[in-house]
Amino acid sequence: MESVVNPKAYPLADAQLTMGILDIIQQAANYKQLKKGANEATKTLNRGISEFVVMAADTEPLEILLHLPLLAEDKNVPYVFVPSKQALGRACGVTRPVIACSVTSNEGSQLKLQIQGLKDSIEKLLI
Amino acid sequence: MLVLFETPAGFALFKVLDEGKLDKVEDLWKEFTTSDSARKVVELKAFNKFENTSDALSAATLIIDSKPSKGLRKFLQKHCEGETLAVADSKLGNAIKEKLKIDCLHNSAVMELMRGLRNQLTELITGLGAQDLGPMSLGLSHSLSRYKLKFSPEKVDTMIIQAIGLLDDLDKELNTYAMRVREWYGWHFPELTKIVTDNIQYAKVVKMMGNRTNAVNLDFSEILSDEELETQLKEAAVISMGTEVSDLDLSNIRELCDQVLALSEYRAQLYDYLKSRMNTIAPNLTALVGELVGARLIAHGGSLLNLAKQPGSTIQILGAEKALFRALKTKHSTPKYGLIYHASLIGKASQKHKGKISRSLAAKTALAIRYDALGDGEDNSIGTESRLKLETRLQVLEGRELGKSAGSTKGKPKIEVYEKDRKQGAGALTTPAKTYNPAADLVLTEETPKKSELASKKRKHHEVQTEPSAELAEGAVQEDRKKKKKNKESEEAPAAEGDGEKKKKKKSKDVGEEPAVAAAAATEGEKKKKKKKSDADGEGVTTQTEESGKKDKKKKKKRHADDE
Repeated sequence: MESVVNPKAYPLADAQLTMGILDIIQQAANYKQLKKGANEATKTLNRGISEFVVMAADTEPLEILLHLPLLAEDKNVPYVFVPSKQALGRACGVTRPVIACSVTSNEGSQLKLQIQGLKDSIEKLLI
Repeated sequence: MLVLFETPAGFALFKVLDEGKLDKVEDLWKEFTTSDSARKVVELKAFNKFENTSDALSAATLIIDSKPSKGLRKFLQKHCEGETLAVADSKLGNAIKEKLKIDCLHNSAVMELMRGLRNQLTELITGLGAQDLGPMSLGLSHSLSRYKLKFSPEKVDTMIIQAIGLLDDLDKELNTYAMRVREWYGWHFPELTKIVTDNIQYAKVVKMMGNRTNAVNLDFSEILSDEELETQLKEAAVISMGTEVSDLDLSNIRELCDQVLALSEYRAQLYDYLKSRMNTIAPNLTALVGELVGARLIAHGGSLLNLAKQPGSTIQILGAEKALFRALKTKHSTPKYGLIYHASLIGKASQKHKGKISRSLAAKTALAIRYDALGDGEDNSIGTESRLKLETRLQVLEGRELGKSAGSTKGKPKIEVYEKDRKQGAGALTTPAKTYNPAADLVLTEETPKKSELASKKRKHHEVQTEPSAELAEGAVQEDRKKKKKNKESEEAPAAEGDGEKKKKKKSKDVGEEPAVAAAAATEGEKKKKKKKSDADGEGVTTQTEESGKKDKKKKKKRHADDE
């Protein structure tokens, strides 16, 4: 991991929260409740079907995904940065690094409670 | 420890009386439920009041950018000697520490403390009532918003939006004026329209020339670099069929030419301005798709920031919304490009690959726009590198097409098959002509036995007329002879055909076949003539009774011929 993290990557999840986030993302991928990539994440935010957005803090340059916090603020959706895009890609189930992904809503999903808990944890970072 | 608290009225400095309570962050809010308990925790030490609204606005603006204003620095220097300062903004704390050497603190306890102070603000600060704080807050927020609207770095792209709109309008207006000049002056000198095709050159020529009779004496080399055009112009001026115009008409046409030239100069100047602004505000987008397409994308998106919030797929079809919704409604194919169709990369691609290049270009453009909108630097490396990648991909796609065209050599066997069909057809055509030749030979061999038969028949008639059986026997013999000849003919036919084929192989041309056919026709003609001669001779010699017998025989021969 890089010793210096871009200060614009805020809020940045710590090691424990990162593990929880990646675990939920992996389960969401299995349940088809995950959109991978900055463009698809943008579309979920525009359509209002996003639960929360996860972004990679080691993206180079970071500006190519900084529009997502702006959209997330407009739509009142929690967002969080994780340290590694490689780890995020593995959690999404793809061989390439993933810089941004979005967990989508699905009423009646088995992940509902876990997602809600994770959203609360992410929102606490912003206080 | 001291706490710096910002209010619409000024900066407040509180002294924390009981720092031990800060250790219990989760219970700190209880201390601020009443004003009495709050006073036990903190007390007001100093207050720096803003003198007027502009002072408050400037201080608030600097605080938003995490910079301490001059008044704040003096205030802190005066009261924070040797103390630790708690601040609400870590960046502001870093700035204060850097400039004033005051230790600053920012953590969750400080945030909780700030919430408590905000809750009991009117009670802790004497002379600041709730009825006074409301209007002060409202006034400051209005001033701040007005200030933001006047100067916002994100809004500089409005200049680009207006410039590109004006540039497009100028293009239309300039074209209208130029066509009007041509049409108006065309009454006087219609041939000039075809000689000078450029609108700007046409306007300059008209302005310089005035009446066409002046053309012979003028030097157009400054306007028309081509001497041939100048010569054509002067010749056409002499023999022009245009009508005459008065000086007043010419002066009005000249003024219109001035307008055209002035508009074209302003358009060039505006284009240079747009180019420089685009390179300043969106360097990566400019490097990728060019100034005009980039500016149109920004104008269509509303602003650079709005455009940055769009996914690549939306940028691909910006400008084709009508076609998109029509396609969605009727369930036809959706459009592949919008405004980016005019980018040079898509122009380079062949029709087959325009869609792929369009999708790739839109994705890279989205990344470039986000970097331009949200990044700080004016570096255009992302745009340059993306363009190189796209050009490489385009070459790869085009190269694959060349490989497919090389496969056209596989079609050659088909041509050979076609030639074989021709050969077979030619062979079939020549077969009946050659098979007919042996049939003609039959007549020559029959003439001699006919004569002998006739003589024998005469003798028989003289002896006894009541012997028809002999005649029948003779007929049978003749038939047998004919059959033998036919067999010989059939044996010869394949040999002849074989010879023909050999000749064809030797001579692939059709010329070789025609002489053979002609020769066969000639031989047939000769044989027919011989038949006629023999018939005439026979008729001259016979008597009446013999004539009747011969007629019967001829009929039989004809029947045999028909059978053959």
